[in-house]
Amino acid sequence: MDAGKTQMLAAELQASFPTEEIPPFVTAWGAKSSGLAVYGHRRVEAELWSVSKDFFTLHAYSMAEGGPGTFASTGSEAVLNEAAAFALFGSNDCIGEAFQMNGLGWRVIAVIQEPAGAANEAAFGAALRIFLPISDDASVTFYEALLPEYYSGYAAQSLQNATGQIVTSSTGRFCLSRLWEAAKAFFQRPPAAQPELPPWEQAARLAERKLCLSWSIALLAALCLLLPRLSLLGKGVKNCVGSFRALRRGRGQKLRG
Amino acid sequence: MKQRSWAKWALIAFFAIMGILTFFSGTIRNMTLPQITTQPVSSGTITPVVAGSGMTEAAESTEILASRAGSVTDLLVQPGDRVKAGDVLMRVDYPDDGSLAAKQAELDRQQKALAEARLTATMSTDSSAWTQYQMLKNNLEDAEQRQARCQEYLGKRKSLDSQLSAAKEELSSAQSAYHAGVDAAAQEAEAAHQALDAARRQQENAQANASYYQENPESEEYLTAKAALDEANAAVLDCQNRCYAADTALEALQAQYQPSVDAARQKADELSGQITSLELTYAGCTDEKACENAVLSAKGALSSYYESQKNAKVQDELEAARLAEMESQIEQLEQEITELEGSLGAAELRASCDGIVETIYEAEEFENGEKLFTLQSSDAYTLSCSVPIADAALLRIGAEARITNQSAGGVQIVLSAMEADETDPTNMKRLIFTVTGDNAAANQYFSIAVALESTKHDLVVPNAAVYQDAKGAFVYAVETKTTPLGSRSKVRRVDVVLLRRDDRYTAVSGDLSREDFVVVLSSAPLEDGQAVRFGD
Repeated sequence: MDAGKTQMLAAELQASFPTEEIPPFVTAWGAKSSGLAVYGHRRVEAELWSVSKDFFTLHAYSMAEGGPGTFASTGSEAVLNEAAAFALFGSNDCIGEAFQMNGLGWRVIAVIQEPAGAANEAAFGAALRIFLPISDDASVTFYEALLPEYYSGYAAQSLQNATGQIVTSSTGRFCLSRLWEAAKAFFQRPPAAQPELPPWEQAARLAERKLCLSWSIALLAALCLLLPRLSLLGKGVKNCVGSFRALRRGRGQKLRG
Repeated sequence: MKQRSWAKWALIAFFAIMGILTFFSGTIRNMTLPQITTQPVSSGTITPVVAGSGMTEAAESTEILASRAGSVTDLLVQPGDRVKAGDVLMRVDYPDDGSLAAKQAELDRQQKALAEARLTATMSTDSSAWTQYQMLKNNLEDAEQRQARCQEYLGKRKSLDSQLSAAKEELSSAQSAYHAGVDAAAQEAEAAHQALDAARRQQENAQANASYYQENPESEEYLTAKAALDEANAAVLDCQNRCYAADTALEALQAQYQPSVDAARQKADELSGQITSLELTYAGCTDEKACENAVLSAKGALSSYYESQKNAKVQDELEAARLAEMESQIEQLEQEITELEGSLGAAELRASCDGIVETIYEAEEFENGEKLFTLQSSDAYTLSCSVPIADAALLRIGAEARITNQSAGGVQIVLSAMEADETDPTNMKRLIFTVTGDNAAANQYFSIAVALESTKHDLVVPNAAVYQDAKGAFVYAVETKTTPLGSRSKVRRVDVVLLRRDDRYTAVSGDLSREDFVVVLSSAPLEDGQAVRFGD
């Protein structure tokens, strides 16, 4: 997807709501590649994430050091994850240090802590990640927008129509109402040529699967617990009916007697 | 009873689980700790290297430039050919660009000036010889003026002749067009008039016939004559119409074509008149041959007079010196003309020194001073690279470098010079190495390393153990404590000062001893005081 297409969402929404003024919304986009980071005698291969300046607004990572406030202001800021900071500098205390990535110089402004949890750890892994500002003419592999909920469905459809790419709406993602969709996705075989998803999306999908599995197990357990109770209840009802009939029979006999 | 049995089994299970967890808690906890690999701190020798890379270039080059403008007729060498001084590199052609004619004219002028100067130096201005000299000079000037006027006349006459020729052609074509367009119409008009005359004659006859039988108007003869008369009248009318149409058409065509014929004729007449007036203006200067002969004759007479006065003694010494200088300038000019005449036409470009043809600047034509060849005039090559100034300060001229990116058979690289780096003079220094050997060639890429003097150090750690953050250089030392429940290890940040480094080890100083182990590899980021476990 070209960087030039990243502004199309506002145009598509305006076309869907021609009489409304679409409020400004935060967008972020980027692309993943790899590169060689060099600091002194240390040379490490790392994942290079070229991202736009609002990426850290949409992804509220915990900051181990520094902050991404000035990210992409001069074009030479870099944000590292803890694994990359340790590989290059041995600690998170590297704010202001300069290193080289793919032959260009960068200055560290923040070290982020990637989210914890089983799904996050499985998706993010122990990879070294370095976030750099994306250039204006670069191609992008992901695009995100934070919209008022009113537009969320329209936005997803507009993006799908405009780009033909995978579009995921994260609104109410882990709610019970999305359980059915998560269950369908769980049992569906993924397409052969599925593009690589960003780690946060992989983590969300893992969490959805786990949630679906948990709910399925819970449902099964509840059924297992309830069924005997239901059979007892059935017996109870049957006994009540039988007693009532017996009573009726007895009263009739009594009357006859 | 049953309830007591159930509670007993529940308690047994609970305590069993607690016991297992307690027993294996260390193992379970250890599974979550970062796994590290360590190496001991040791003493050793550090042999630092200064590393760099670059492409080889020819050490000395000679450029062969064009001495004058010319064109290439035959290229006899290719890049990589070895040549000796004097070998022909290519054949060229030097055309005359007008410089020879200019030098010749200058020579004539200087010779004339010399002759005049000699005459004025040897004779008195009121003598008969002087008068004769002035007359000859005036004759020559007149003849040259007439010749110049003749050239002028010939130029103008040529132009007028060509214009007249064009005008005559134009007239001829206009006349042809006129005849082609008008003749047919004229013939048609002529025919129409003839037909009208015939019709009129017939009308007269019919009129006479009708008048003859007029007295008996009802007679058959009269009626026949009347009919014939009517017919004749109609025929005359028809012919008159035809004549009118033919005449009108003829006049239209004449109006169409006649103006161009008239214009062409007028133009030709004008040009003829201009030619006539030109001949009158340049009367006496129209014969080129006669004018040329007159100039030659006057020059001849003057030259003879110069020759006759040549041996006259020059009294004034200053004049004599001036004449001598003019003679030497003429001699030099004659020599230049001779050399120039010799250099024109086909020539050969030769190598000025031994060497290898490095570059041929291919062009069919070249200007004076343009580069034609670059010869690599020696077998030595250079390789240059930039290194930090601190590293360069440790090097000495003459240090030998080893090649690290390929096997170095037949190539020797020695540091020959150091100079400031143009792109970053405050932080970097440019090293220049001389590359020799049988396998040395231009445009080879080498990564090189120059080993410095080895030094012994007490505390040496692997490079992978040394980190550097905002607080400075440090290593992670491992502290292990043995407890009844097993060994517990944790890392301790130790700030160090870097002394020297080679490509594998770094000499440091700090709160370390040779019993310490430092972390060289970790599966997860570490912090000071963090618990760790050793890898399998």
